[in-house]
Amino acid sequence: MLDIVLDPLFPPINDVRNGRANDFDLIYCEGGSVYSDKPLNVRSPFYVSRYPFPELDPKNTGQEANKGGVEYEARMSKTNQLRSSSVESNTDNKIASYHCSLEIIFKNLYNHINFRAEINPEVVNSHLTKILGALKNWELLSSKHISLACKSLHLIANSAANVILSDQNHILSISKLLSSENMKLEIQLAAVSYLSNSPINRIFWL
Amino acid sequence: MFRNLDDILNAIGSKPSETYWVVQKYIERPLLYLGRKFDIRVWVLITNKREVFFYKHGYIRTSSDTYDTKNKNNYVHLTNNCLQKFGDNYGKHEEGNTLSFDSLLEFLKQAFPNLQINFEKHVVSKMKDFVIDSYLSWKKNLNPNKRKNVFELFGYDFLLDEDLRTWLIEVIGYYPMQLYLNLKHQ
Repeated sequence: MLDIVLDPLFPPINDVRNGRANDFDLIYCEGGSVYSDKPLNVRSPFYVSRYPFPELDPKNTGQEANKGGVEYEARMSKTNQLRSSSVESNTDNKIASYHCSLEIIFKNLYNHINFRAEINPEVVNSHLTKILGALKNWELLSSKHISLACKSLHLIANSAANVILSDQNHILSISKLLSSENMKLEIQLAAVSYLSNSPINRIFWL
Repeated sequence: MFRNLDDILNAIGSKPSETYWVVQKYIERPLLYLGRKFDIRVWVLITNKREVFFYKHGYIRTSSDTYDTKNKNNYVHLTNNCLQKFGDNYGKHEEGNTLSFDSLLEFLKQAFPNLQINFEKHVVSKMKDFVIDSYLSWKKNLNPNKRKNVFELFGYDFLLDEDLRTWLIEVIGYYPMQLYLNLKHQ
């Protein structure tokens, strides 16, 4: 079979018939692979600076500007004069606030649902939209934040505000979560809880 | 390339309706290779089993003319081979305006003698981060018919700025590989 598909004009440098080693690095897989028994994700943590050298980070230029040599120093001084505030410098802060927001959402939801005389569906709906948005990219969340998002879903599902669960867009997001491959059990359970408590489900059973 | 918001809005307004456009920041201070702009092309293979592979042997694409933000000539700013090959200076500096990773690393070591540059750690790992991020943002749209035993090959273009930060410029799903194969064959 390999003889059919291998290019006769440009044969591979590393013949795959001699073993599985090749020039492709597996950098991500969700459910394991013949190249990796376990799920793999080599992405650097989000707190790692985008500057590969701290010496080139504008935060540190005042402290260690000499490390790169005279030529570099001259270039940096010019760069600093021209440097304008840009979007990318705030990226790390945004990610931190994104993670932080799940904690705040859970606290706000908890207080709103448990300690308010009247629940405002718009407030809960706004939080729910953010939670589902975060869970859409659950691979980027830590276990702690996944747990917080799931707890928030359970909280809404078991509250008097669960009428908002029947929103068509939310149902669609939840069904996408359930149909995703390799979805964590914790998220699946939260999604099932969501659907079983949704008013749509009650209508269906009636 | 636009220099103010009005120009951007006018350009987008002139496009057909129901089309989508991405407005991207221009990296005005790229790292230059002997005074000329360059970018890095790497290949990424994604299988139907949701495995993402990063091909180790990328290459560098250089522009033919000296970089200058005041010069609006596309041959200065765009390193795409499909454009550069029509330039008067194409191949004047490097064959096919193409260099290997090793050549870039050698240049970086000369340009930054006091930095202990490790290409894998300081550049490639950043590129891999972008590949994973972009894959996660787009994976739901891959292989919509759930076919088995298939893969897709993507060309990723990166740029280094003068602080050696890595920027993702674009991802393309189809690219003529002849030039690259010739380079590899050599």
